[in-house]
Amino acid sequence: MPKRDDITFRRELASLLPRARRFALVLTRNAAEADDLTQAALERAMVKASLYDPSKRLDTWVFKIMQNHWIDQRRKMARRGTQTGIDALAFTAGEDGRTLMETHDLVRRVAGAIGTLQEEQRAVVALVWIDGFKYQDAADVLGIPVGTVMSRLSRARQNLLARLGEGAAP
Amino acid sequence: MIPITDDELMTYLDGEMTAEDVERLEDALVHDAEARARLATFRSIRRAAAQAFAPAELSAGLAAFAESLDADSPLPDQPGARLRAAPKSRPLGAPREWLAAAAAAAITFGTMIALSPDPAGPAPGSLLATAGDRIVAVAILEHALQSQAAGDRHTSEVRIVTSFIASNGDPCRQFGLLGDQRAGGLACFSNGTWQVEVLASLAPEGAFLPAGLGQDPIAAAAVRLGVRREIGPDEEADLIRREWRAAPAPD
Repeated sequence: MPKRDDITFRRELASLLPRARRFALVLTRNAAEADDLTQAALERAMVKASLYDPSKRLDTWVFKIMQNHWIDQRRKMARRGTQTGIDALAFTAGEDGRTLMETHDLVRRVAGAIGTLQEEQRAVVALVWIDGFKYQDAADVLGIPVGTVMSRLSRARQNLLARLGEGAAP
Repeated sequence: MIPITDDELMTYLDGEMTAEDVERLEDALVHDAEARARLATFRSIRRAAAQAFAPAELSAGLAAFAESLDADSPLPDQPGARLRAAPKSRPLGAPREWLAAAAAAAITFGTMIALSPDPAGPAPGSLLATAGDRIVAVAILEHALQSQAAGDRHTSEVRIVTSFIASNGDPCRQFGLLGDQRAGGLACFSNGTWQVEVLASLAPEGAFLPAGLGQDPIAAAAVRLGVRREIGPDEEADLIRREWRAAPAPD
């Protein structure tokens, strides 16, 4: 029989899956790659379970594993010369479909603009704006100083505004 | 009046300001309509980003993986132990469940490609040809449909997403085209050829489409064809071996 802690840990991992997959989607911009990255990251988290410090946030730990794995994957793909296409993202309407439909044009343009950001900017946008991480937690995931999180967010905001143009201002 | 910077407004929205700075900023905002307008813009963009990336329904493979995490079996004790085979080999169950997965997987597809059959035969590099009133797969698309296992997406420019038996008994396969073609569709094996039932282009690179902005043509085609059942990995391997001919009737 597995230990009770193991079962709890796995269930907590399972509950993180939708958020982890969303982070993967923003990183990879490809639905199939996002599925693979999510599963690989959670598998790694299970293998490394004994290294997890329960006093720390599990989501931060798992997202960091995912970020590191993605960097490894990118390096391997670059060495092999492999390129992955950018999918249109598999979005959902969210909980409030009506609100989304009312604002879907802005949602679509913002999503498209996020897709054009550099990867390091997409990552901070995904963590802070989309997932609600605090700057310090985002910094822990990405292994960068808080000040760098802030400067990347600032550049992301400027790039998004430029991409959306003045006419897109709601 | 000291101008309120964009970075201050973003830090405020991100909830990263000290209580003292929040009070100071809010006092200043009361007297600064221009800054309030910028704040409203940033808030809308932030909200739109969160809506666009609302957690999606998991693909069938990830949902199965989530189930395996919930199972009461021991954690893998060997570094690098892989669980990936389990979800992929798991039957998807009822056709309705598969359809939901197919719709989720295919939601990335946008406008229909206009098929223009060429009576002189397929042009070099073409993946489609006409055969009477049907459009059939040729070249690497035909080869992949004929011989590639579902989920194996690193062996060619074609990815087979899944295989199923349609309501008329024909085996059908959902496919995606990688590389420049950036399209996907459904094809069914009938009269010795792979008949393409639907082909849809991917949205242009960089164009991110939220769900619900149009009916997904591949899911619609799957509904039209009817999904009697999914073809599992073993049966799929057997069909590939038999070149998709029906198994001989038992004596």
